[in-house]
Amino acid sequence: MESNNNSQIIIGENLENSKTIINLLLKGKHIFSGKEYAELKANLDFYSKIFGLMDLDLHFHDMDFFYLRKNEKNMASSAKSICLFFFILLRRISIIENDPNPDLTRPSGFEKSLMRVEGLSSKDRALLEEQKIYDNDGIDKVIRNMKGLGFLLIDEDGERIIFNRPIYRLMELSSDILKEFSQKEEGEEE
Amino acid sequence: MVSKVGTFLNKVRECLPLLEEILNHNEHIIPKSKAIEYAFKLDFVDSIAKAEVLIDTLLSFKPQPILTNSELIDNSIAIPNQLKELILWVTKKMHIESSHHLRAIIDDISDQINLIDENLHGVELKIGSIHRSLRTIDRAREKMVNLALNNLEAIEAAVREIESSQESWSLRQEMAFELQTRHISPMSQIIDVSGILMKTIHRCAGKLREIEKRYDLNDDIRNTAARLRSGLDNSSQIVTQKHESSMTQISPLLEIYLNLPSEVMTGAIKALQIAETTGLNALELNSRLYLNTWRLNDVWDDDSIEDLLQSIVKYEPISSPFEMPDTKPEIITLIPIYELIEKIKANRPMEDILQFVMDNEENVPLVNCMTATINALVNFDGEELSFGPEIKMYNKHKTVMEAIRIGIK
Repeated sequence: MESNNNSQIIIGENLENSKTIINLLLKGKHIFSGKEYAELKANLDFYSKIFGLMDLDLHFHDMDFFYLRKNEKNMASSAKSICLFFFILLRRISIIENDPNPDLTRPSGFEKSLMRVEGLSSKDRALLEEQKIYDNDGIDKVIRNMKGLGFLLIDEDGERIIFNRPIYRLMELSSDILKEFSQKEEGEEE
Repeated sequence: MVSKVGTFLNKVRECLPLLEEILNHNEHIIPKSKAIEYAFKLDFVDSIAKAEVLIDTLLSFKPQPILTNSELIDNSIAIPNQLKELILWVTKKMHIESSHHLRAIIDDISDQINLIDENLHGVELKIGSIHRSLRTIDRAREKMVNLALNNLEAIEAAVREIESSQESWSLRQEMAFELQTRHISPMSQIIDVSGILMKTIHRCAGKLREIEKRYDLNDDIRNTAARLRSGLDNSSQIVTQKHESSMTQISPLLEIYLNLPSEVMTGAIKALQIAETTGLNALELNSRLYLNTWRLNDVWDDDSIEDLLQSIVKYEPISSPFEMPDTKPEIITLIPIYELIEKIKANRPMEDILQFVMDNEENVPLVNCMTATINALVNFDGEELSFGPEIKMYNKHKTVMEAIRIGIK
Protein backbone atom coordinates (compact mmCIF):
# COMPACT_ATOMS: atom_id res chain seq x y z
CA MET A 1 0.00 0.00 0.00
CA GLU A 2 1.24 3.44 -0.80
CA SER A 3 -0.17 6.90 -1.26
CA ASN A 4 1.03 9.67 -3.51
CA ASN A 5 -0.76 12.68 -2.11
CA ASN A 6 -3.84 13.69 -0.18
CA SER A 7 -6.17 13.38 -3.12
CA GLN A 8 -4.98 10.00 -4.29
CA ILE A 9 -5.56 6.89 -2.29
CA ILE A 10 -4.16 3.66 -3.60
CA ILE A 11 -5.82 0.50 -2.45
CA GLY A 12 -3.58 -2.38 -1.50
CA GLU A 13 -4.08 -5.90 -2.69
CA ASN A 14 -5.36 -7.39 0.56
CA LEU A 15 -8.44 -5.34 1.23
CA GLU A 16 -10.78 -8.24 1.61
CA ASN A 17 -12.60 -7.02 4.72
CA SER A 18 -12.85 -3.33 3.97
CA LYS A 19 -16.62 -3.28 4.04
CA THR A 20 -16.73 -4.99 7.42
CA ILE A 21 -13.95 -2.81 8.84
CA ILE A 22 -15.53 0.48 7.79
CA ASN A 23 -18.91 -0.73 8.92
CA LEU A 24 -17.66 -1.75 12.36
CA LEU A 25 -15.65 1.41 12.95
CA LEU A 26 -18.49 3.66 11.88
CA LYS A 27 -20.72 1.85 14.33
CA GLY A 28 -18.26 2.74 17.07
CA LYS A 29 -16.64 -0.67 17.45
CA HIS A 30 -13.07 -0.86 18.66
CA ILE A 31 -11.03 -3.28 16.56
CA PHE A 32 -8.33 -5.13 18.44
CA SER A 33 -8.13 -8.65 17.01
CA GLY A 34 -8.97 -10.93 14.11
CA LYS A 35 -8.62 -10.53 10.36
CA GLU A 36 -10.13 -7.05 10.47
CA TYR A 37 -7.45 -5.91 12.91
CA ALA A 38 -4.68 -7.43 10.72
CA GLU A 39 -6.01 -5.79 7.59
CA LEU A 40 -6.51 -2.45 9.32
CA LYS A 41 -2.98 -2.46 10.69
CA ALA A 42 -1.49 -3.42 7.32
CA ASN A 43 -3.41 -0.70 5.46
CA LEU A 44 -3.50 2.00 8.11
CA ASP A 45 -2.67 4.81 5.70
CA PHE A 46 -5.47 3.88 3.34
CA TYR A 47 -8.08 3.60 6.06
CA SER A 48 -6.90 6.78 7.78
CA LYS A 49 -7.45 8.69 4.54
CA ILE A 50 -10.84 7.13 3.92
CA PHE A 51 -12.00 8.23 7.36
CA GLY A 52 -10.19 11.56 7.04
CA LEU A 53 -12.51 12.31 4.13
CA MET A 54 -15.40 11.87 6.50
CA ASP A 55 -13.73 14.20 8.99
CA LEU A 56 -13.09 11.28 11.30
CA ASP A 57 -9.79 10.37 12.89
CA LEU A 58 -8.86 6.70 12.77
CA HIS A 59 -6.90 6.40 15.97
CA PHE A 60 -4.37 3.69 16.73
CA HIS A 61 -4.06 3.42 20.50
CA ASP A 62 -0.73 2.63 22.21
CA MET A 63 -2.37 -0.47 23.65
CA ASP A 64 -2.78 -1.87 20.14
CA PHE A 65 -6.35 -1.26 19.03
CA PHE A 66 -8.18 0.99 16.59
CA TYR A 67 -11.21 3.24 16.94
CA LEU A 68 -12.71 6.30 15.33
CA ARG A 69 -12.81 9.64 17.05
CA LYS A 70 -13.74 13.17 16.23
CA ASN A 71 -12.83 16.50 17.77
CA GLU A 72 -16.27 17.45 18.82
CA LYS A 73 -18.78 16.73 21.55
CA ASN A 74 -19.92 13.17 21.60
CA MET A 75 -23.24 12.42 20.00
CA ALA A 76 -23.55 8.95 21.48
CA SER A 77 -25.77 9.16 24.53
CA SER A 78 -24.38 5.83 25.75
CA ALA A 79 -21.00 7.38 26.65
CA LYS A 80 -22.23 8.59 30.05
CA SER A 81 -23.82 5.25 30.92
CA ILE A 82 -20.72 3.35 29.90
CA CYS A 83 -18.42 5.58 31.97
CA LEU A 84 -20.74 5.38 34.96
CA PHE A 85 -20.94 1.60 34.70
CA PHE A 86 -17.14 1.43 34.60
CA PHE A 87 -16.65 3.73 37.63
CA ILE A 88 -19.21 1.87 39.72
CA LEU A 89 -17.77 -1.51 38.75
CA LEU A 90 -14.29 -0.37 39.84
CA ARG A 91 -15.57 0.85 43.19
CA ARG A 92 -17.42 -2.44 43.66
CA ILE A 93 -14.27 -4.42 42.86
CA SER A 94 -12.30 -2.41 45.42
CA ILE A 95 -14.90 -3.21 48.07
CA ILE A 96 -15.82 -6.80 47.25
CA GLU A 97 -12.38 -8.04 46.22
CA ASN A 98 -10.50 -5.83 48.67
CA ASP A 99 -8.17 -4.85 45.89
CA PRO A 100 -7.20 -1.22 45.28
CA ASN A 101 -5.27 -2.08 42.17
CA PRO A 102 -7.10 -4.82 40.27
CA ASP A 103 -5.79 -6.09 36.95
CA LEU A 104 -8.68 -5.04 34.75
CA THR A 105 -7.40 -6.97 31.76
CA ARG A 106 -7.07 -10.28 33.60
CA PRO A 107 -8.26 -13.17 31.42
CA SER A 108 -10.62 -14.47 34.09
CA GLY A 109 -12.51 -11.18 34.05
CA PHE A 110 -15.01 -10.19 36.73
CA GLU A 111 -18.25 -11.61 38.06
CA LYS A 112 -21.18 -10.01 36.28
CA SER A 113 -23.04 -10.36 39.57
CA LEU A 114 -20.89 -7.52 40.97
CA MET A 115 -23.15 -5.21 39.03
CA ARG A 116 -26.56 -6.61 39.95
CA VAL A 117 -28.88 -3.86 41.15
CA GLU A 118 -29.74 -5.67 44.38
CA GLY A 119 -26.07 -5.65 45.46
CA LEU A 120 -25.39 -2.02 44.64
CA SER A 121 -25.34 0.72 47.24
CA SER A 122 -28.13 3.28 47.28
CA LYS A 123 -25.65 5.88 45.98
CA ASP A 124 -24.72 3.68 43.02
CA ARG A 125 -28.36 3.01 42.24
CA ALA A 126 -29.22 6.71 42.41
CA LEU A 127 -26.49 7.53 39.89
CA LEU A 128 -27.65 4.80 37.53
CA GLU A 129 -31.24 5.99 37.82
CA GLU A 130 -30.08 9.43 36.69
CA GLN A 131 -29.10 7.67 33.47
CA LYS A 132 -32.50 5.93 33.36
CA ILE A 133 -31.00 2.60 34.38
CA TYR A 134 -33.49 1.26 36.90
CA ASP A 135 -32.97 -2.50 36.93
CA ASN A 136 -30.77 -5.39 35.86
CA ASP A 137 -32.18 -5.21 32.35
CA GLY A 138 -30.89 -1.66 32.10
CA ILE A 139 -27.47 -2.74 33.33
CA ASP A 140 -27.44 -5.66 30.88
CA LYS A 141 -28.19 -3.21 28.10
CA VAL A 142 -25.09 -1.19 29.02
CA ILE A 143 -23.04 -4.40 29.11
CA ARG A 144 -24.35 -5.41 25.69
CA ASN A 145 -23.58 -1.94 24.38
CA MET A 146 -20.04 -2.15 25.73
CA LYS A 147 -19.71 -5.58 24.16
CA GLY A 148 -20.90 -4.19 20.84
CA LEU A 149 -18.29 -1.45 21.01
CA GLY A 150 -15.55 -3.97 21.78
CA PHE A 151 -14.85 -2.91 25.37
CA LEU A 152 -15.65 -6.34 26.80
CA LEU A 153 -16.60 -9.94 26.20
CA ILE A 154 -19.11 -12.02 28.09
CA ASP A 155 -18.04 -15.59 28.87
CA GLU A 156 -19.90 -18.62 27.57
CA ASP A 157 -21.93 -18.99 30.75
CA GLY A 158 -22.88 -15.35 30.64
CA GLU A 159 -21.59 -15.00 34.21
CA ARG A 160 -18.35 -13.09 33.76
CA ILE A 161 -17.33 -10.01 31.87
CA ILE A 162 -13.84 -9.89 30.44
CA PHE A 163 -12.38 -6.59 29.40
CA ASN A 164 -10.67 -6.20 26.04
CA ARG A 165 -7.77 -3.86 25.35
CA PRO A 166 -10.04 -0.94 24.40
CA ILE A 167 -10.90 -0.69 28.11
CA TYR A 168 -7.66 1.31 28.33
CA ARG A 169 -9.65 4.24 26.97
CA LEU A 170 -11.86 4.19 30.06
CA MET A 171 -8.86 3.61 32.33
CA GLU A 172 -7.14 6.66 30.86
CA LEU A 173 -10.34 8.64 31.25
CA SER A 174 -10.38 7.81 35.00
CA SER A 175 -6.76 8.89 35.39
CA ASP A 176 -7.45 12.12 33.48
CA ILE A 177 -10.40 12.94 35.73
CA LEU A 178 -8.24 12.36 38.81
CA LYS A 179 -5.48 14.64 37.53
CA GLU A 180 -7.80 17.36 36.33
CA PHE A 181 -10.02 17.55 39.40
CA SER A 182 -7.10 17.18 41.84
CA GLN A 183 -5.41 20.13 40.13
CA LYS A 184 -8.63 22.11 40.35
CA GLU A 185 -8.95 21.35 44.06
CA GLU A 186 -5.32 22.26 44.71
CA GLY A 187 -5.87 25.51 42.83
CA GLU A 188 -8.93 26.30 44.93
CA GLU A 189 -7.06 25.55 48.17
CA GLU A 190 -4.26 27.94 47.19
CA MET B 1 -28.49 19.51 79.47
CA VAL B 2 -25.13 19.37 77.69
CA SER B 3 -23.28 19.69 80.99
CA LYS B 4 -25.46 16.92 82.47
CA VAL B 5 -24.59 14.64 79.56
CA GLY B 6 -20.93 15.57 80.03
CA THR B 7 -21.14 14.69 83.75
CA PHE B 8 -22.86 11.44 82.90
CA LEU B 9 -20.19 10.47 80.33
CA ASN B 10 -17.40 11.45 82.69
CA LYS B 11 -18.87 9.23 85.40
CA VAL B 12 -19.18 6.33 82.95
CA ARG B 13 -15.58 6.86 81.91
CA GLU B 14 -14.40 7.13 85.54
CA CYS B 15 -16.13 3.88 86.52
CA LEU B 16 -15.33 2.03 83.32
CA PRO B 17 -13.28 -0.81 84.91
CA LEU B 18 -16.22 -1.58 87.21
CA LEU B 19 -18.76 -1.43 84.36
CA GLU B 20 -16.57 -3.62 82.17
CA GLU B 21 -16.34 -6.22 84.92
CA ILE B 22 -20.13 -6.32 85.17
CA LEU B 23 -20.45 -6.58 81.40
CA ASN B 24 -18.13 -9.60 81.48
CA HIS B 25 -20.56 -11.44 83.75
CA ASN B 26 -23.39 -13.64 82.59
CA GLU B 27 -26.47 -11.56 81.72
CA HIS B 28 -24.48 -8.53 82.86
CA ILE B 29 -25.68 -9.07 86.42
CA ILE B 30 -23.53 -9.45 89.56
CA PRO B 31 -24.23 -9.65 93.31
CA LYS B 32 -24.10 -6.24 94.95
CA SER B 33 -21.25 -7.39 97.23
CA LYS B 34 -19.16 -8.28 94.17
CA ALA B 35 -19.89 -4.88 92.64
CA ILE B 36 -18.66 -3.19 95.83
CA GLU B 37 -15.50 -5.32 95.63
CA TYR B 38 -14.86 -4.16 92.06
CA ALA B 39 -15.63 -0.55 92.98
CA PHE B 40 -13.01 -0.73 95.71
CA LYS B 41 -10.38 -1.50 93.05
CA LEU B 42 -11.00 1.83 91.32
CA ASP B 43 -8.14 4.33 91.70
CA PHE B 44 -10.22 6.99 93.39
CA VAL B 45 -11.88 4.60 95.88
CA ASP B 46 -9.79 3.91 98.96
CA SER B 47 -12.31 2.29 101.32
CA ILE B 48 -15.19 -0.17 101.25
CA ALA B 49 -17.48 2.53 102.62
CA LYS B 50 -16.64 4.79 99.66
CA ALA B 51 -17.19 1.85 97.30
CA GLU B 52 -20.69 1.32 98.76
CA VAL B 53 -21.46 5.04 98.37
CA LEU B 54 -20.26 4.93 94.77
CA ILE B 55 -22.52 1.98 93.92
CA ASP B 56 -25.51 3.82 95.47
CA THR B 57 -24.57 6.97 93.54
CA LEU B 58 -24.46 5.03 90.28
CA LEU B 59 -27.86 3.45 91.03
CA SER B 60 -29.47 6.86 91.37
CA PHE B 61 -27.35 8.87 88.96
CA LYS B 62 -29.06 11.76 87.15
CA PRO B 63 -30.10 12.26 84.38
CA GLN B 64 -29.97 8.50 84.01
CA PRO B 65 -28.86 5.68 86.35
CA ILE B 66 -25.57 4.08 85.41
CA LEU B 67 -26.41 0.91 87.37
CA THR B 68 -29.77 -0.63 88.15
CA ASN B 69 -31.07 -3.16 90.69
CA SER B 70 -31.57 -6.49 88.93
CA GLU B 71 -35.17 -7.53 88.50
CA LEU B 72 -34.13 -11.13 87.97
CA ILE B 73 -31.86 -11.81 90.95
CA ASP B 74 -32.30 -10.39 94.43
CA ASN B 75 -29.63 -8.15 95.88
CA SER B 76 -27.85 -8.01 92.52
CA ILE B 77 -27.16 -5.15 90.20
CA ALA B 78 -27.06 -4.87 86.44
CA ILE B 79 -26.22 -2.39 83.72
CA PRO B 80 -29.22 -0.73 82.04
CA ASN B 81 -29.70 -2.07 78.52
CA GLN B 82 -29.54 1.35 76.92
CA LEU B 83 -26.13 1.90 78.48
CA LYS B 84 -24.43 -1.26 77.28
CA GLU B 85 -23.68 -0.03 73.75
CA LEU B 86 -22.40 3.26 75.10
CA ILE B 87 -20.07 1.52 77.55
CA LEU B 88 -18.75 -0.76 74.82
CA TRP B 89 -18.18 2.26 72.59
CA VAL B 90 -16.42 4.27 75.29
CA THR B 91 -14.37 1.22 76.22
CA LYS B 92 -13.32 0.66 72.66
CA LYS B 93 -12.40 4.34 72.19
CA MET B 94 -10.49 4.38 75.44
CA HIS B 95 -8.62 1.19 74.71
CA ILE B 96 -7.71 2.16 71.22
CA GLU B 97 -6.52 5.57 72.30
CA SER B 98 -4.57 4.36 75.30
CA SER B 99 -1.02 4.70 73.98
CA HIS B 100 -0.60 8.03 75.79
CA HIS B 101 -1.92 6.45 79.00
CA LEU B 102 0.64 3.70 78.65
CA ARG B 103 3.35 6.29 78.15
CA ALA B 104 2.17 8.09 81.30
CA ILE B 105 2.33 4.84 83.29
CA ILE B 106 5.86 4.20 82.03
CA ASP B 107 6.77 7.76 83.06
CA ASP B 108 5.37 6.97 86.54
CA ILE B 109 7.58 3.87 86.76
CA SER B 110 10.54 5.94 85.62
CA ASP B 111 9.85 8.58 88.32
CA GLN B 112 9.71 5.86 90.97
CA ILE B 113 13.04 4.44 89.77
CA ASN B 114 14.57 7.90 90.21
CA LEU B 115 13.08 8.13 93.71
CA ILE B 116 14.47 4.71 94.65
CA ASP B 117 17.85 5.71 93.24
CA GLU B 118 17.86 8.92 95.29
CA ASN B 119 16.98 6.90 98.37
CA LEU B 120 19.58 4.20 97.80
CA HIS B 121 22.35 6.71 97.19
CA GLY B 122 21.16 9.56 99.36
CA VAL B 123 22.33 10.62 102.74
CA GLU B 124 19.43 9.01 104.48
CA LEU B 125 17.86 5.62 103.51
CA LYS B 126 14.08 6.08 103.64
CA ILE B 127 12.72 2.53 103.77
CA GLY B 128 9.10 3.68 103.78
CA SER B 129 9.65 5.68 100.64
CA ILE B 130 11.24 2.70 98.86
CA HIS B 131 8.27 0.53 99.88
CA ARG B 132 5.85 3.08 98.49
CA SER B 133 7.80 3.27 95.25
CA LEU B 134 7.78 -0.53 94.89
CA ARG B 135 4.02 -0.62 95.49
CA THR B 136 3.49 2.16 92.95
CA ILE B 137 5.61 0.33 90.39
CA ASP B 138 3.68 -2.91 90.98
CA ARG B 139 0.32 -1.16 90.48
CA ALA B 140 1.69 0.56 87.38
CA ARG B 141 2.86 -2.82 86.08
CA GLU B 142 -0.65 -4.27 86.38
CA LYS B 143 -2.20 -1.23 84.70
CA MET B 144 0.45 -1.34 81.99
CA VAL B 145 -0.37 -4.96 81.12
CA ASN B 146 -4.11 -4.33 81.09
CA LEU B 147 -3.77 -1.20 79.03
CA ALA B 148 -1.45 -2.77 76.49
CA LEU B 149 -3.53 -5.93 76.10
CA ASN B 150 -6.80 -4.03 75.84
CA ASN B 151 -5.25 -1.64 73.38
CA LEU B 152 -3.94 -4.41 71.15
CA GLU B 153 -7.25 -6.23 71.23
CA ALA B 154 -9.09 -3.02 70.40
CA ILE B 155 -6.76 -2.48 67.46
CA GLU B 156 -7.36 -6.04 66.24
CA ALA B 157 -11.10 -5.47 66.48
CA ALA B 158 -10.80 -2.17 64.61
CA VAL B 159 -8.89 -3.84 61.77
CA ARG B 160 -11.49 -6.61 61.53
CA GLU B 161 -14.18 -3.94 61.47
CA ILE B 162 -12.48 -2.21 58.54
CA GLU B 163 -12.12 -5.53 56.76
CA SER B 164 -15.77 -6.45 57.06
CA SER B 165 -17.00 -2.94 56.34
CA GLN B 166 -19.09 -2.29 53.27
CA GLU B 167 -17.81 1.27 53.05
CA SER B 168 -16.05 2.52 49.95
CA TRP B 169 -12.42 1.68 49.40
CA SER B 170 -11.27 5.24 50.01
CA LEU B 171 -13.16 5.49 53.29
CA ARG B 172 -11.77 2.19 54.53
CA GLN B 173 -8.33 3.33 53.48
CA GLU B 174 -8.75 6.52 55.50
CA MET B 175 -9.80 4.43 58.50
CA ALA B 176 -6.76 2.18 58.06
CA PHE B 177 -4.38 5.12 57.76
CA GLU B 178 -5.83 6.73 60.86
CA LEU B 179 -5.56 3.50 62.80
CA GLN B 180 -1.99 3.01 61.65
CA THR B 181 -0.75 6.55 62.27
CA ARG B 182 -2.72 7.48 65.40
CA HIS B 183 -2.80 4.19 67.26
CA ILE B 184 -0.69 1.32 65.93
CA SER B 185 2.51 3.25 65.26
CA PRO B 186 2.56 5.11 68.62
CA MET B 187 1.82 1.88 70.50
CA SER B 188 4.45 -0.04 68.54
CA GLN B 189 7.03 2.64 69.29
CA ILE B 190 6.35 2.07 73.00
CA ILE B 191 6.10 -1.73 73.04
CA ASP B 192 8.77 -2.65 70.46
CA VAL B 193 11.90 -4.38 71.80
CA SER B 194 13.85 -1.13 71.47
CA GLY B 195 10.92 0.97 72.72
CA ILE B 196 10.48 3.01 75.88
CA LEU B 197 8.61 0.19 77.70
CA MET B 198 11.44 -2.34 77.53
CA LYS B 199 14.06 0.31 78.27
CA THR B 200 12.17 1.35 81.39
CA ILE B 201 11.59 -2.24 82.51
CA HIS B 202 15.31 -3.03 82.07
CA ARG B 203 16.22 0.08 84.01
CA CYS B 204 13.73 -0.82 86.71
CA ALA B 205 15.00 -4.44 86.87
CA GLY B 206 18.54 -3.09 87.34
CA LYS B 207 17.42 -0.92 90.23
CA LEU B 208 15.47 -3.80 91.79
CA ARG B 209 18.56 -6.04 91.56
CA GLU B 210 20.45 -3.31 93.35
CA ILE B 211 17.87 -3.45 96.18
CA GLU B 212 18.11 -7.24 96.28
CA LYS B 213 21.88 -6.98 96.78
CA ARG B 214 21.65 -4.33 99.48
CA TYR B 215 22.08 -6.36 102.63
CA ASP B 216 21.60 -3.26 104.75
CA LEU B 217 17.92 -3.43 103.71
CA ASN B 218 15.57 -5.85 105.43
CA ASP B 219 14.52 -9.15 103.82
CA ASP B 220 10.98 -7.98 103.36
CA ILE B 221 11.92 -5.13 101.03
CA ARG B 222 14.52 -7.23 99.21
CA ASN B 223 11.96 -10.05 98.66
CA THR B 224 9.40 -7.52 97.44
CA ALA B 225 11.97 -6.21 94.95
CA ALA B 226 12.71 -9.76 93.75
CA ARG B 227 9.01 -10.52 93.30
CA LEU B 228 8.46 -7.23 91.49
CA ARG B 229 11.39 -7.89 89.15
CA SER B 230 9.98 -11.30 88.30
CA GLY B 231 6.52 -9.78 87.84
CA LEU B 232 7.95 -7.11 85.52
CA ASP B 233 9.71 -9.82 83.49
CA ASN B 234 6.45 -11.71 83.09
CA SER B 235 4.50 -8.57 82.29
CA SER B 236 6.94 -7.43 79.63
CA GLN B 237 6.88 -10.91 78.08
CA ILE B 238 3.07 -10.99 78.04
CA VAL B 239 2.89 -7.54 76.44
CA THR B 240 5.59 -8.16 73.83
CA GLN B 241 4.16 -11.56 72.89
CA LYS B 242 0.67 -10.12 72.52
CA HIS B 243 2.08 -7.27 70.49
CA GLU B 244 3.90 -9.68 68.19
CA SER B 245 0.86 -11.89 67.70
CA SER B 246 -1.40 -8.87 67.10
CA MET B 247 0.93 -7.40 64.55
CA THR B 248 1.28 -10.76 62.80
CA GLN B 249 -2.49 -10.92 62.50
CA ILE B 250 -3.29 -7.37 61.52
CA SER B 251 -0.31 -6.40 59.37
CA PRO B 252 -1.34 -8.45 56.31
CA LEU B 253 -4.91 -7.15 56.62
CA LEU B 254 -3.83 -3.55 56.99
CA GLU B 255 -1.24 -3.83 54.28
CA ILE B 256 -4.00 -4.15 51.67
CA TYR B 257 -5.42 -0.81 52.71
CA LEU B 258 -2.11 0.90 53.18
CA ASN B 259 -1.20 0.10 49.58
CA LEU B 260 -2.04 3.08 47.48
CA PRO B 261 -4.82 2.38 45.01
CA SER B 262 -4.05 2.75 41.33
CA GLU B 263 -4.60 6.06 39.57
CA VAL B 264 -7.41 4.41 37.62
CA MET B 265 -9.18 3.25 40.80
CA THR B 266 -8.71 6.60 42.53
CA GLY B 267 -9.94 8.38 39.41
CA ALA B 268 -13.07 6.22 39.23
CA ILE B 269 -13.83 6.81 42.90
CA LYS B 270 -13.15 10.53 42.50
CA ALA B 271 -15.48 10.62 39.48
CA LEU B 272 -18.25 8.98 41.50
CA GLN B 273 -17.73 11.40 44.39
CA ILE B 274 -18.04 14.34 41.98
CA ALA B 275 -21.12 12.78 40.37
CA GLU B 276 -22.68 12.27 43.80
CA THR B 277 -21.97 15.77 45.07
CA THR B 278 -22.03 17.99 41.97
CA GLY B 279 -23.84 15.81 39.45
CA LEU B 280 -22.74 13.62 36.59
CA ASN B 281 -22.72 16.51 34.14
CA ALA B 282 -19.80 18.10 36.00
CA LEU B 283 -17.59 15.33 34.63
CA GLU B 284 -18.34 16.31 31.01
CA LEU B 285 -18.16 12.69 29.97
CA ASN B 286 -19.60 13.39 26.53
CA SER B 287 -16.53 15.31 25.55
CA ARG B 288 -14.13 12.86 27.21
CA LEU B 289 -15.28 9.63 25.60
CA TYR B 290 -16.06 9.95 21.92
CA LEU B 291 -18.02 6.98 20.69
CA ASN B 292 -18.72 7.02 17.00
CA THR B 293 -22.28 6.77 15.84
CA TRP B 294 -23.69 5.46 12.63
CA ARG B 295 -25.28 8.70 11.53
CA LEU B 296 -22.89 11.61 11.28
CA ASN B 297 -24.35 15.03 10.67
CA ASP B 298 -27.13 13.30 8.74
CA VAL B 299 -24.82 13.15 5.76
CA TRP B 300 -23.45 9.66 6.17
CA ASP B 301 -26.78 7.98 6.40
CA ASP B 302 -27.15 4.29 5.70
CA ASP B 303 -27.47 4.76 1.94
CA SER B 304 -24.40 6.97 1.72
CA ILE B 305 -22.35 4.47 3.67
CA GLU B 306 -23.61 1.71 1.45
CA ASP B 307 -22.64 3.68 -1.67
CA LEU B 308 -19.15 4.20 -0.35
CA LEU B 309 -18.73 0.58 0.62
CA GLN B 310 -20.05 -0.60 -2.71
CA SER B 311 -17.57 1.56 -4.54
CA ILE B 312 -14.72 0.03 -2.56
CA VAL B 313 -15.88 -3.53 -2.99
CA LYS B 314 -16.40 -3.09 -6.69
CA TYR B 315 -12.98 -1.57 -7.18
CA GLU B 316 -10.48 -3.63 -9.13
CA PRO B 317 -7.12 -3.19 -7.43
CA ILE B 318 -4.02 -4.07 -9.54
CA SER B 319 -2.34 -0.73 -10.23
CA SER B 320 -4.74 2.06 -11.00
CA PRO B 321 -5.15 4.67 -8.26
CA PHE B 322 -8.40 5.15 -6.43
CA GLU B 323 -9.14 8.83 -6.88
CA MET B 324 -10.77 10.59 -4.02
CA PRO B 325 -11.63 14.27 -3.75
CA ASP B 326 -9.35 16.51 -1.74
CA THR B 327 -11.62 17.74 0.92
CA LYS B 328 -14.56 16.69 2.98
CA PRO B 329 -17.22 18.97 1.48
CA GLU B 330 -16.64 17.55 -1.99
CA ILE B 331 -17.49 14.10 -0.90
CA ILE B 332 -19.92 14.54 1.91
CA THR B 333 -22.13 16.87 -0.12
CA LEU B 334 -22.57 14.79 -3.24
CA ILE B 335 -26.16 14.52 -4.34
CA PRO B 336 -27.32 11.01 -5.20
CA ILE B 337 -28.07 11.37 -8.94
CA TYR B 338 -30.75 8.68 -9.10
CA GLU B 339 -32.72 10.37 -6.35
CA LEU B 340 -32.32 13.77 -8.02
CA ILE B 341 -33.70 12.47 -11.33
CA GLU B 342 -36.69 11.11 -9.50
CA LYS B 343 -37.25 14.43 -7.73
CA ILE B 344 -37.05 16.38 -10.99
CA LYS B 345 -39.56 14.02 -12.61
CA ALA B 346 -41.89 14.38 -9.64
CA ASN B 347 -41.78 18.19 -9.78
CA ARG B 348 -41.86 18.80 -13.51
CA PRO B 349 -42.60 21.08 -15.19
CA MET B 350 -40.15 23.64 -13.82
CA GLU B 351 -38.48 26.70 -15.25
CA ASP B 352 -35.15 26.51 -13.54
CA ILE B 353 -33.81 23.07 -12.58
CA LEU B 354 -30.57 24.37 -11.03
CA GLN B 355 -32.51 26.75 -8.81
CA PHE B 356 -34.74 23.83 -7.78
CA VAL B 357 -31.69 21.75 -6.85
CA MET B 358 -30.14 24.67 -4.94
CA ASP B 359 -33.33 25.20 -2.98
CA ASN B 360 -33.69 21.52 -2.14
CA GLU B 361 -30.09 20.87 -1.12
CA GLU B 362 -29.36 23.61 1.34
CA ASN B 363 -26.01 22.34 2.55
CA VAL B 364 -24.59 21.43 -0.84
CA PRO B 365 -22.19 23.96 -2.39
CA LEU B 366 -23.18 25.64 -5.63
CA VAL B 367 -20.60 23.83 -7.71
CA ASN B 368 -21.90 20.44 -6.56
CA CYS B 369 -25.47 21.48 -7.28
CA MET B 370 -24.36 22.45 -10.74
CA THR B 371 -22.52 19.15 -11.35
CA ALA B 372 -25.40 17.10 -10.00
CA THR B 373 -27.89 19.01 -12.19
CA ILE B 374 -25.84 18.44 -15.32
CA ASN B 375 -25.41 14.74 -14.49
CA ALA B 376 -29.14 14.41 -13.93
CA LEU B 377 -30.08 16.25 -17.14
CA VAL B 378 -28.06 13.81 -19.20
CA ASN B 379 -30.73 11.28 -18.39
CA PHE B 380 -33.51 13.35 -20.01
CA ASP B 381 -34.41 13.65 -23.66
CA GLY B 382 -33.19 17.00 -25.06
CA GLU B 383 -36.68 17.76 -26.30
CA GLU B 384 -38.02 17.74 -22.79
CA LEU B 385 -35.68 20.52 -21.76
CA SER B 386 -35.95 24.28 -22.30
CA PHE B 387 -32.83 26.45 -22.47
CA GLY B 388 -32.44 30.13 -21.66
CA PRO B 389 -32.80 32.37 -23.29
CA GLU B 390 -30.99 34.44 -20.68
CA ILE B 391 -27.79 33.76 -18.77
CA LYS B 392 -28.53 33.78 -15.08
CA MET B 393 -26.32 34.60 -12.09
CA TYR B 394 -26.62 31.89 -9.41
CA ASN B 395 -25.50 32.75 -5.88
CA LYS B 396 -25.07 30.34 -2.98
CA HIS B 397 -22.84 30.26 0.13
CA LYS B 398 -20.99 33.34 -1.17
CA THR B 399 -20.19 31.52 -4.43
CA VAL B 400 -21.43 33.08 -7.64
CA MET B 401 -21.68 31.25 -10.98
CA GLU B 402 -23.05 32.22 -14.37
CA ALA B 403 -25.09 29.63 -16.25
CA ILE B 404 -27.81 29.36 -18.83
CA ARG B 405 -31.18 28.70 -17.28
CA ILE B 406 -32.46 25.18 -18.03
CA GLY B 407 -36.02 24.11 -17.43
CA ILE B 408 -38.03 20.95 -18.05
CA LYS B 409 -41.44 20.57 -19.64
